Amino acid sequence: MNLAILLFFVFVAILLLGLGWALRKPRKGTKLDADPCWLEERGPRQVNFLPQIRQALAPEDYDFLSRRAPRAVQRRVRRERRKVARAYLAALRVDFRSLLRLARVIAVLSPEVAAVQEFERLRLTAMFEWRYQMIRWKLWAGMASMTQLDSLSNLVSGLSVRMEAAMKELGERAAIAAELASLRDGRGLDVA
Amino acid sequence: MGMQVVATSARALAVAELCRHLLARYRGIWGLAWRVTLGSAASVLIYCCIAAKYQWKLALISAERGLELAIAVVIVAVFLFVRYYGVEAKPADRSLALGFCLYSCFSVLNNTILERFLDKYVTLWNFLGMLAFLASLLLWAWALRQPQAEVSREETLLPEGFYQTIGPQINIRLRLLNEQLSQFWKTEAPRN
Repeated sequence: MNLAILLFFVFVAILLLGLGWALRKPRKGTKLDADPCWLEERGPRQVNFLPQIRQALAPEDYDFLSRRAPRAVQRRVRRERRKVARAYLAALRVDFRSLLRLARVIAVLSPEVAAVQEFERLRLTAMFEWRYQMIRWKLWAGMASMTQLDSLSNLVSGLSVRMEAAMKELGERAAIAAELASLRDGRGLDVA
Repeated sequence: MGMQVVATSARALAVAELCRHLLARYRGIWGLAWRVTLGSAASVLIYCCIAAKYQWKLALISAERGLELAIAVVIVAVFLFVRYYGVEAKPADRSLALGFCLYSCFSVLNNTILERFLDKYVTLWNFLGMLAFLASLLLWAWALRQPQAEVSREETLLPEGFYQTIGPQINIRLRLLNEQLSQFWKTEAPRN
């Protein structure tokens, strides 16, 4: 069998796998919700737990323990902190996905969509997923240092505040858009 | 062979209609999807022309294979769009697409083998082709066993300019998340 034939077979196999994946029933909650008011209720919920998580990752606590507590306790604390960091990473991913879902809903409901923006988003998603998995693996293996954990806490704190503001703004805009759309349907108002 | 060309073209048109039926309600996404799918189909056709290596004796088989592969690529690409954006696809549409795609994929494989073993394979090629067609016919009949409800022509869309304002902002926020994650990954510190 020569290479060209083999390539055709491989290509068909990839197509069938792709179709199988695309035709799979979506998981609950991933289907498009066409109601723009849905956007209003969404927001980074993890921001509510931020003070507790920052406390858990604070380097001062660890310094204190390293001076006073035995090694076993220090190890346990380190383990617990990593667990917290993993949970926080997962929460970060939830925020990312919620933002992504918001972007998709807006794209689907928009009369015009820019290919550049959409491909950029796809690229960012792939990058995020890759980095997320790598960091998660690093945390599991115990290769992440305490400084890194602390930098994670700073990362999320700054980000969550910005995201909270952004989501609020987006929710308000979506509500206005929904109102405009209902006006357009009801009274023939042309908003375009 | 003339009938074969008509039948393949008719199938291509039916697939185009199916794609339009799935996505045309969402004007923005449809605008992006048809460009991407058409671009992919054109690339596949070009590849098939190159792979045929100017064997004029097999020109028709190669052309048909190229067209079938392009049809399959279009179906898979559109359903990837449907999946990515969480657009609802009815079971009947899914079954129709599955039938079209399986038939096209089978034709590609069948034609690829025929191209290689022209003399020995013709009888079996006819038989398998008929079998694949009957299987697809059964799928389509099953999909359309019940009358289909008419869908609304277009969803209520957000005002123009909304996407252009919010889309880039969301991407910036996603990029921020990525950058922060990247910094976390790169941070080097001595282990405690």
